[in-house]
Amino acid sequence: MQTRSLGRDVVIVGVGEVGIGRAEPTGGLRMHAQAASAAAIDAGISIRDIDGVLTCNSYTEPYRQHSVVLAEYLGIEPHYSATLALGGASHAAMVGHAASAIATGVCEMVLVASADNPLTAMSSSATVSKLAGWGHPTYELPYGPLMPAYYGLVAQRYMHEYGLTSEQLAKVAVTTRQHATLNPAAMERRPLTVEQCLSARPIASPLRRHDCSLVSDGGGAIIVTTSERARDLDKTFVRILGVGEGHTHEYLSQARSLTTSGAAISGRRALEMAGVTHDDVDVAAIYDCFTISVIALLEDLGFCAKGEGGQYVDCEGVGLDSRMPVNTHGGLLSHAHPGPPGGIFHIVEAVRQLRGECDARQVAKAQIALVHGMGGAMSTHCTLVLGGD
Amino acid sequence: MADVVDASPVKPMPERTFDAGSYLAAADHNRLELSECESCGAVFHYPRGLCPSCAEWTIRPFTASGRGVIYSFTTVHRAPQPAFADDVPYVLALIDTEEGARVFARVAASNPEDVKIGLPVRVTFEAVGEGSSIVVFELDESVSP
Repeated sequence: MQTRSLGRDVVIVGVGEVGIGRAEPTGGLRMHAQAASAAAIDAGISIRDIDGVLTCNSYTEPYRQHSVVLAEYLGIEPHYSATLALGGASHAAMVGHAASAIATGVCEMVLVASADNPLTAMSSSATVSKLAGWGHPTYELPYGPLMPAYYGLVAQRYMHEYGLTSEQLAKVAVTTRQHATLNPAAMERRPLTVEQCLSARPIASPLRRHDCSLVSDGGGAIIVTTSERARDLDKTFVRILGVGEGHTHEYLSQARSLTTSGAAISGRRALEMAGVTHDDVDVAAIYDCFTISVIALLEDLGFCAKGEGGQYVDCEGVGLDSRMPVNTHGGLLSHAHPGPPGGIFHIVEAVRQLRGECDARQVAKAQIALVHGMGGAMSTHCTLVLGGD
Repeated sequence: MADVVDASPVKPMPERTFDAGSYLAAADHNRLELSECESCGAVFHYPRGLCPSCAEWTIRPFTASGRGVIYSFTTVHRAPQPAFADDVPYVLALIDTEEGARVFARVAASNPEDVKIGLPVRVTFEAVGEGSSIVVFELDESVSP
């Protein structure tokens, strides 16, 4: 089989994030524009230089042709525009789509943007209801599911098959919180202990409060272009080395397995395309909507054997002192989870790590980063491999 | 977390699509209906026009025995909408039916602690409106696990 390749050096030249935690109640579209401006400034480009726009819509201010509405708001007329709907895998996938469009000459400077303010615009409980509304309208919603219930089903099966423990889940939450305490932008920075996690109120067994991500506001944006264009700008860029997707189901009852996900496919494809091995990855940003997802994805991405994610967290760990720190920004568990933008902050953090801008949480000599986004109930998967310049 | 919810106070009824018609009508008459492919023999749920195993449009609905085992479950403590607030804690599960299809449903259990992976269950039905019922399961104590 021929090795897949972009056939051209495609890079991320700017990133930005805005309104993390609790934002001004400005609305989702304006937040997209604010994030776009922040990323453009970071890249050293003008908004007018953007000729491609990718978004993944908004809960609080949705539009039918969302990416087109954003371009209009920004006052630009792009050659390439799409609104993706892959949940938490959308952002990694948008970077992949941008890279493909640039590699084939469709456009040269793509804005990937995602922002929302469910906390200030909807109230936390309404957001929970909105997320619960994700279930199948005929076969699931009449039973009263909520997002943690789907991941509770996964965690319960993991415990049954592999002896995963609540303590191991808690360690993911605690380590992620430690990272957040080192990130001034993170929403939740109070120290957290395993004991607090184990005695927190149950949400959907075996998951408790701190196994679940936050409800927040926030937005992020990424500028993707060619290395030629990037060299003309006075900014350290990050190469897009590999991208892979794997979508196995939408509804959890249709998943072939509750303990092996499409990340096993997307991760292998991304690493193969990048031509790197697991040992080459210095820092990872892995979709952490729930603690169980980090453990499941570490296994599926191949960083440990199936069923050994719990021991991996116990022995190797995912903290800054481990071989491959995970979610150094604080993740969805402690940095921010504004709904649709969930996966964009993992990419922003990976770029900042590779540019060496992370101060107290900087991973020394970070050259290769792996980012994994996931949507639905372990449903949609996209893996990116990024490399420092 | 504030517990004021601005969502509907009424539980959602199953959305009645063309594909779901036969299944929902069966549930209204206290029957669990699954789908079988007449070409390759695959048994599956939820019903759809073509077979997810062989892509042939040769689907036959049939009445299942209603027996199965719990593949996984979760006890929900936080209601997603006010309409479910009086129900918590309640158990949601993936049931592996003895015919082979996996079904998402509630398990009615007076004590959620009794619910375990691998336990046998049997189908029962919960009235959700005039002439409408939904499929639920209950622990089947007539079968030794």
